[in-house]
Amino acid sequence: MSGATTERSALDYDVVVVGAGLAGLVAAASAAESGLRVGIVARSSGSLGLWSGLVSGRIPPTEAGARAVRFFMGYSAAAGLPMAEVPGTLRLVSATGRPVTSALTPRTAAADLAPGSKVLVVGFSELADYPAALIAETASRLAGLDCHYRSLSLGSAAGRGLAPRIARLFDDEEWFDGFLTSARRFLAADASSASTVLLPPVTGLDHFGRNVARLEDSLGTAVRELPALPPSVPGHRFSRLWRHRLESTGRVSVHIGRTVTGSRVENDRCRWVSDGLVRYEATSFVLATGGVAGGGIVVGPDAFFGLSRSVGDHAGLVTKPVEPVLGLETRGEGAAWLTWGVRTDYDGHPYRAGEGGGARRLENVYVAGWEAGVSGATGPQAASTLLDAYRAGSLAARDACLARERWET
Amino acid sequence: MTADDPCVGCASCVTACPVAAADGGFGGPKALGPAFCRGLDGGWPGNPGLGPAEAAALGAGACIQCHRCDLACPMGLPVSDFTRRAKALLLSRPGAPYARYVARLLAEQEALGRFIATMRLPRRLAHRLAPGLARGAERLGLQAFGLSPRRSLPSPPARTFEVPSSDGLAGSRDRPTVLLYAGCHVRFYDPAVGHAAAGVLRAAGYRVKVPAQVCCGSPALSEGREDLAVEAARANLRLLDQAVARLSESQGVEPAIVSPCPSCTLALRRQFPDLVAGPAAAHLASLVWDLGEFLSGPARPRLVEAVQRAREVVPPDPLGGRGKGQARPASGTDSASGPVLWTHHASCHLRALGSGRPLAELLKALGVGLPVDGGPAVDGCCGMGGLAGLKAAEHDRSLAVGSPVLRAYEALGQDVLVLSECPMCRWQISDATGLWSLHPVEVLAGLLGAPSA
Repeated sequence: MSGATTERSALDYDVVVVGAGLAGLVAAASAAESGLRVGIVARSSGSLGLWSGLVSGRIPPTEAGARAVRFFMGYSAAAGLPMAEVPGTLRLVSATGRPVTSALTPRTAAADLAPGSKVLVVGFSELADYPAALIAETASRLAGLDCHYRSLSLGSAAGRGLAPRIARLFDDEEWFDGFLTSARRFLAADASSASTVLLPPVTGLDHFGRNVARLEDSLGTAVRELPALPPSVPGHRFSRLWRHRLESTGRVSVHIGRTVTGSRVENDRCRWVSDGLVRYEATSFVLATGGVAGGGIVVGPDAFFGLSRSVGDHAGLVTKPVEPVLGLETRGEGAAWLTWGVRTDYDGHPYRAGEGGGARRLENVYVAGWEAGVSGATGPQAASTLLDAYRAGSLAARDACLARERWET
Repeated sequence: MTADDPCVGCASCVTACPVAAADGGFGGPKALGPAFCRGLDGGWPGNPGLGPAEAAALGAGACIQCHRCDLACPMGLPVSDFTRRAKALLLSRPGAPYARYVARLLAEQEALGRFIATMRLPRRLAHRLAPGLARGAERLGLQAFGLSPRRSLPSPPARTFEVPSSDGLAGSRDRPTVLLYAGCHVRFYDPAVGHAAAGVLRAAGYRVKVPAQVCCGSPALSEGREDLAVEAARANLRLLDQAVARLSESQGVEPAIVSPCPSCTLALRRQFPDLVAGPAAAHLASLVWDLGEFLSGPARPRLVEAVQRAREVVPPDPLGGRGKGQARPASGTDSASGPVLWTHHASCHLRALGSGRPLAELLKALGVGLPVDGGPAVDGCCGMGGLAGLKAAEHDRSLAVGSPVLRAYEALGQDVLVLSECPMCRWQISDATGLWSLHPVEVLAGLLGAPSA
């Protein structure tokens, strides 16, 4: 239940968030909104380096959903990553051209590609792992778009064509001016007959908004970024911009590179979590350790062969590394590892494993992102992660505020 | 993906790599890290393994061991340990004697530092008598060592780093002694930071002892000279163990080992246990603190009291007199013209420690000056890459890697003071932007009226 207690110091926060992926950052932001001190403790920046930046899934048409969306859009815009203000779900295509939808979309990616739309897919010949021809073909076939594709060379400065390198080139104003000239020369004719020009999402790490706008002016057509295979620049933009905004409030401390390995649970409340060096104490905790891609769920070989075991005896099958630390109950259906997660109640409190069939919950812990049951066969979609995380952060903050009031009166 | 090699090839490390963004020829941490090491033995019998030629073709030498890839890996792999192996292979290439020579020189920081420290007085004399000539001679010296003549050497300090020996006497439970692992930069180039650290620790109720120490080996490791790093780790373990044992006996508790340099802290805490097997290194690592963590942790209550007391007695001089005689006493530093504008640069190794920004948060909590936000770009790497950016062959790449950060600092204007725990970040930022930089503990020392030089 608790790790070795060799910590030599303690940090005291109102809310501690374990995990620094989409769920962790959103939960921390929502908790810090009420003026509380928040600590983020995470092994790494999770799977944000893989994320397309699109919010898949649906936002429920409820007041809570609307509140979460308002918060997310406001925070992201202030962080330097504005979302498109369009109602409803957008029809887009994925990094391989398959139709996908997005409930919330970065402004530079926000297109609504109705079947029959005339689209020009642009590839950069140096960019690794970006199959523009395949995207155009698949999108024509599966999304019903009228797609053409053109390939453009970025020159020798692109080197091996790693996405972050090309994003850095786009941020170089002098280089970008040159790019604009050749884009106009080679794309203008095709672009004029298309309603949207789709580019790889590498138009800059800092100046992507400005660059896309200048390209639109230059081509006279809507220009948008498509998702791409990792390394994903849009996911990296989100990670760095949100983290910077969180830190710059002066209320959030970011401890990335610290793996939670121990905890203290007393009377169904978590007192602290620890990385073996430091104890992170808090009134309430948000658990946002993620799924398989982010390393929050570890899948053993058995999972792929359908060797299902009963709950409580799943060691080596599917485990969530942090949950054993807190003694939580994980649940899922046999081999479908994307359904595995932590069992929670309606508010997101996790159940503890062991006696009583897991009837006891951790009262001051909220799970964001990977709740069993919510996940469904494809794992949680970004929209539900975002909603969970916003709610988990606000509930954790509410608890901490109430505790403070009790303390002060 | 196996239990031993959990890399799934997701390329998250590539998104975080500052060198891959700046240098199109660099293969990046994915190709040079786990993937490269998987190919070292060829994969199957009869297949030749990857070697120095392949490491060179992927530009392994450009890796600066910033550890940002480690923090990006969803699986928690120490990616930079793998890239370091690829980098080390380069030194075994035939026809790389010059690269080996420069690498050796930087790896042997202890010897280099001692040499430059011995040149301190002649340098001071020469700078006073014929400054132009002195700088010319220094440029030639840098060139002879394979270092960039475009770097400005730190001006020679008046004295080397020493702490009054009475301070090192046995502490007590009430007033324990802290071991200050000063690091090469403090010992040989910038003793003021060490004096400031000692002064602040003393004000917070500790005795301070500077134990016998040698270079932490971090430069050797970055150059791919693991053999030299192991030597350095062993020597430090021996020296620090002795100091710890003596103090534990006399004061009844084990002393904390505190370092103002994040790279030294990272080496002592994270790398020694990897380099030297056995419980001794792991135990020593558990005693090691980053200065900021220590001051904002166990030392915080008494430090805050001391600052408040000092503020009642004298008007605070957050710069501890260091503003005088500086090449660029920015107008904002003059107490008459308003508060000091400052910004904090978190070095890559401070990030790798995962301790956040404890000293910047402490300064904010104490209401020191006016913190300025440099925007998201300054969260990047300054490009110096430890000592790598000092090499003549790496100078341009170093500036290219750091260019978004350096441009963002430049945009803040010349009145802003850049605070960073890392001496090499301070060097790079001041060199490239002309901004004035200090270790944040120097500002704390100034608040306390503690001598910083």
